[in-house]
Amino acid sequence: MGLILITAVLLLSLAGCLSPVSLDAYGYVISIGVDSGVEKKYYYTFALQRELSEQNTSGEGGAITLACEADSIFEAVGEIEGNIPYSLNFSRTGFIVMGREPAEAGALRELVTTSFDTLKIRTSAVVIVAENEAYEFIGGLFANNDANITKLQTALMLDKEKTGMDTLMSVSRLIEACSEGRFDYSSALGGYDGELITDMEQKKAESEGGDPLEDAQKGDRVGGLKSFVNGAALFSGWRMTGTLTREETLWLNVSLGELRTAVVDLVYTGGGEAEGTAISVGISPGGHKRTACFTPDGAFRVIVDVTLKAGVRQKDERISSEEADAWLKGSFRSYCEERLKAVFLICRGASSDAMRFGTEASKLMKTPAEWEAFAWKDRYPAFEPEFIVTVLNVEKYIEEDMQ
Amino acid sequence: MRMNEGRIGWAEGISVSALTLFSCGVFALDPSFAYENGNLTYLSIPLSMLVSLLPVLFIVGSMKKTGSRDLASHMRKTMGGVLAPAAALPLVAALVYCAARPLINFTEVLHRLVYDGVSYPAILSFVIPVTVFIAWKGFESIGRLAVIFTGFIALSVAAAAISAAPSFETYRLYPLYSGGTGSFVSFTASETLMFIPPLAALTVCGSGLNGAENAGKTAAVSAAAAAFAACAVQLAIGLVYPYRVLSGLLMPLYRINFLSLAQSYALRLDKLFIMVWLNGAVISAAYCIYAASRLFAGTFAMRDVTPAVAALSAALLFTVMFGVLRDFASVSRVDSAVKKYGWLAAAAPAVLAIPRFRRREKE
Repeated sequence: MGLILITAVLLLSLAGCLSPVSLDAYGYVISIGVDSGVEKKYYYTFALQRELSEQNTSGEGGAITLACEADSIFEAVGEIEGNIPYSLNFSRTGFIVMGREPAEAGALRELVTTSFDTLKIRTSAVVIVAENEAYEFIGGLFANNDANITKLQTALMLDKEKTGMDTLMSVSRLIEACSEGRFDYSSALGGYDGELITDMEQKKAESEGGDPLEDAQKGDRVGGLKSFVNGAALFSGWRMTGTLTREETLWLNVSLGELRTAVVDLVYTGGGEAEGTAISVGISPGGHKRTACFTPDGAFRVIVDVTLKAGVRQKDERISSEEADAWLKGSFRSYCEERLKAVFLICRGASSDAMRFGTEASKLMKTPAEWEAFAWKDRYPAFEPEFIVTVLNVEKYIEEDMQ
Repeated sequence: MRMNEGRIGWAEGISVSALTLFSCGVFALDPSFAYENGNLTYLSIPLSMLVSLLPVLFIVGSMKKTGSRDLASHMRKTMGGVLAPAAALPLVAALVYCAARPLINFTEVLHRLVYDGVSYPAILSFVIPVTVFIAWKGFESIGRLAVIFTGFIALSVAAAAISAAPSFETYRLYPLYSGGTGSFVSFTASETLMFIPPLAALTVCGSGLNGAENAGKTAAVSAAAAAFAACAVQLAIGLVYPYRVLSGLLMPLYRINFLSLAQSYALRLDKLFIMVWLNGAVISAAYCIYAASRLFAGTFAMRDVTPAVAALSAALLFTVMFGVLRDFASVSRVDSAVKKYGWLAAAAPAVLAIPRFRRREKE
């Protein structure tokens, strides 16, 4: 009995010996970039994790970027592997960065449907559309020699949770969106600031005895990464069809019930001496409900009921607590409803159901055939939801409790 | 006599049977067939397991009346030495198919998603010898191995499903009515091919379970346990992937965490989990091959089960190789015919046993 168990366990664990390859024989691709090519269809960029060398005691890893033109990712992999002493491995790929041009041309479809399983890329990878070129964005992402993909992905997720101004979705969601047609995908929109002075550049200037900020102009952003998230890219099926700013992305997240916490900066309009002064409002979710139905005339109707917990973070001292409370429940509530509607109209203008109202429609269908006959995408241009926002002044309750 | 049957108790019997039912109900599905008209697998698969219990309980009932301790001796008593081997052959074939089906899917997933540039024969060279070795050692060894591995498998499946919980969305289960009653009944009936043989195998190994009555009770408990587990897992899968995506995903449980953006060690355990689940499929396959060999040897009045194990292991290897190369249209047609009408073959021994048994009772 013991012999059987030991043999079975040992033999199965030996399955790891199938095609054994030592770790340093692989180059782990952590980001794939796709831009339009000049002579060939695409320009592929692969950012590889660079292992720490024994001489390097700084504790920094960093990335190597390999790039070439090719008509398909397989051709690019073949071309690059012919010039490097190791094989490319995609099992750790965390980012797919598409240049705006190929994203608008629907190149994601070709990449996702033909290569993911073959190259063993996990569909938990995140798509980012670079406003300009993907290779630039990837270069800017690793400009600080910080190529730890887990850290970068976690940083983006934390940014979404803290500011509510990012949208991150895995390739699995893209596949779901495109094969089901119940909603449309939205990805992070990547920006690139070529003039930015990175942390590495500052360190280098400092070690050479120079002024780290010598080249910086007053008002410039300094430090951090050259690449940053600048809003959201809206998709209609496989094609990118529009963009949202970071502020608009916040309202997209509110409509989806995915907001964790955010701060909205706007102008106080409650009257009095403080009229027109700046005011910052912290918001967090207090409830989110979508009610969908068909009206007697057959129209599809959705009411989005959002409850926001709000609190004034910064205000003019002339605004009293009572005035702030009245403003939050009046003007601010209306402002939220207007922003939600405005962002919906931007999405609809891009033929993108990024607010995922199709998922509500599908819940009203009995059979897959009925859902297909419903033709959601054809109905979407005429669809209009109703947004109802309720604002709870959290700080008022805190004050009352204290009293 | 060298039937390698031994004696096992409740826990071993329930473990081996439930493990096999779970393997067949979760890992052996053909996604293009299972999710073709929507996703109701979280209802149809458990229901199919429970429906499959009925003919098995009928066999157990008729075995108790003839005083037989195993299905082979029951068939020889009720059908005679000539008809019994012929009547047993469909169940033998169905058991080989049940052994092969999960292994086909595992080989395909290992080839496509886990190992880089490794051929099917290379993968099978690790999987089939273990299966054959366990099957050769007999029912008692299989039962005791199943008890050990069922806990690991249950834990790993639960961990995979629970870690995917943040990605659960109820809209993915809609449209709830799927392809309608006809489609639901047709799929539920076709899946009984995967569940009747493992449950009937308990009656084949009735002596090892200390009699037909214990075999019946083991079948009932294991069917209920496996139905509950399969329902929970299929529901979790349905909450993560909608039916159209599922119809193109082989072994979706392996990819259940792929929607998650969080990168943590807990979410990168899929390759470890698939090896644990493969252990379960190997034990299930060994159980099916042993039961098929035991039935074959018993109905042909052979005194040694080893030649039958060798022959049916070769059949298993052939079937798995045939299955993984099913891109060929003809192979695909065979696969689809087996899926649609195979349950008839599995139910055949029970159907054949009825008239003969009734005639004997009248006598």
